[in-house]
Amino acid sequence: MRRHLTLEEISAWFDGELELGDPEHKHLRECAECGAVLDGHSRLRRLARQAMPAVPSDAIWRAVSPRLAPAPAPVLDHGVPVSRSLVVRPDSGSASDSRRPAGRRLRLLVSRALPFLIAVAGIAAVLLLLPRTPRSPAPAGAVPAPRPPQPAALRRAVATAEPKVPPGAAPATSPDKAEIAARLQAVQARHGRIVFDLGRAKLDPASGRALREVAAILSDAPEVNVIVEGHTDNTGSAGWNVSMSQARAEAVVRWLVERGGIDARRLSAKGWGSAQPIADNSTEAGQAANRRVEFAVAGVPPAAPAAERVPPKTRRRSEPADAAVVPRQTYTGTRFILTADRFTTADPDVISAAGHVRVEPATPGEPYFAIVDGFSRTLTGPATGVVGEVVNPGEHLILHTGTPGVPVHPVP
Amino acid sequence: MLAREGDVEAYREVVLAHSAALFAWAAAELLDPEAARGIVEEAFVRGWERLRSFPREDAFAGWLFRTARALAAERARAKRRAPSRAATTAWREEPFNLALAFLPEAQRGTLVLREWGGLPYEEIAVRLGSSEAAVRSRLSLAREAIMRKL
Repeated sequence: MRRHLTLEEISAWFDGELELGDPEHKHLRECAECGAVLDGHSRLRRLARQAMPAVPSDAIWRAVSPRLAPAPAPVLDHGVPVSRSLVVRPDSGSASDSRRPAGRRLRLLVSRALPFLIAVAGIAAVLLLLPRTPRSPAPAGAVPAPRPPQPAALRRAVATAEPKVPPGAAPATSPDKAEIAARLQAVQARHGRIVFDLGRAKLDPASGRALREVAAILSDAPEVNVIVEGHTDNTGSAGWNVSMSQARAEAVVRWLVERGGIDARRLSAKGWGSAQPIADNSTEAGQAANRRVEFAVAGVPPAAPAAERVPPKTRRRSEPADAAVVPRQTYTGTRFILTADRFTTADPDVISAAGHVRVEPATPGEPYFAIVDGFSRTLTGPATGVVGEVVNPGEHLILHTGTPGVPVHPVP
Repeated sequence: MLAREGDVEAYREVVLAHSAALFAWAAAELLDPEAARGIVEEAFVRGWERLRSFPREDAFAGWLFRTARALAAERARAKRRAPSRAATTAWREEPFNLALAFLPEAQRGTLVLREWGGLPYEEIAVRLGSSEAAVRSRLSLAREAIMRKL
């Protein structure tokens, strides 16, 4: 049986300054049976300690630290942010060099320069050896392939991974959109989901294989545009989820452009946040299934002859001064109103190619149009009077407005 | 405060200093330590972006609690829409935690910050946005109520 503490024992905790009846210590009372002083809170404290959850402080920091955005650049008084690369830090090495004796300085120089010398020697050796390596004989008069080496290597890698597809079939009869979509889905089914670092938009290296296959599929079907759609589960705020899914979708696009060699104009990114779950978010498994990246096959650009396609820069220079050039990704999910001016079409496909943006009249019959959301291929309003001109399909939408000065303005 | 100038290591100290109390509070609020951890992490991530706007650390501590409270409320709303059985853990069945659930929110927060977070009265007042006298009175009421339940 638990022994009651005596007044002396309890008093010792309080350095002898304890008095019964003191309002500060009113939780102390005398036991009705033995007259000993009871600390009325001791049981509560014991139970509380038993129930106290272990505080995962370190684990919390480990989860939080990768999600911390780099600190914003310090801003000068006149509001111009200072580039971090311009911040000059004292270089202790160079400062102390002058104080070192000449012999040590030479040794230091050699030790610092050695890695560079080794690297240069390595590159030279590779260059010398390269012409001697056996190569497959190219047919006489063949033009060297204009593609960068990586996509070709990727296609080869996938051709070996997918023996079902005959090597010559793809360029001859280009696969239709449904087939491309099915193949893109199959890639994820085969390799699992595209995985990111926890709480970040950094691609996990494990996703490389799936992405290489996606790149190969897209290289085989150059007429197909793809929307990379990011989705999250429902934990965290809606705003965070949307920006995270957008960042992740953009990371995939960046990978496909930089490492997969896909034309950036064919790809777009869209972050849906947690708005489109495919599984029940109340279970762990469902949440895991909802954290995903999908590839949606978008509009096929209008079949304009290649000769008619003018590089965007030359065209842009000839545009009127009030034309607003809006990069495609900035107005995803944002609502704009623009004034109709120049471009008229009744062909929904042309509209969808104009930057993959659904444009519809805010009020029928009025010369105002709203970009409702990005990357939809349907046009709900009448097509005549819709503004926008395809400069280079899929890259930029140039919006001409009748109001110089305020070409495009967001609607709250 | 170095953390305000973008020093991640300094922010680590801030996180470690505040995580115990914040986590204790969130765990009692949600009766689910796993969910509490998610909320605490999210609050600290948001706090990093907002840190520069707080002149003093105690103001930041109060803001952290308000943010965590908003996140907990958001989560509770989501839970009501899609109730999950996963949260019913052994931890939740602890008599003390069961009794906690019956306390009014202000009393519960005060009690766990005192008993689990080990915070002095004035710091509890800062975090929960109340006065020290209110903390004392809530603590007393909470202790009486919980001992009746136990």
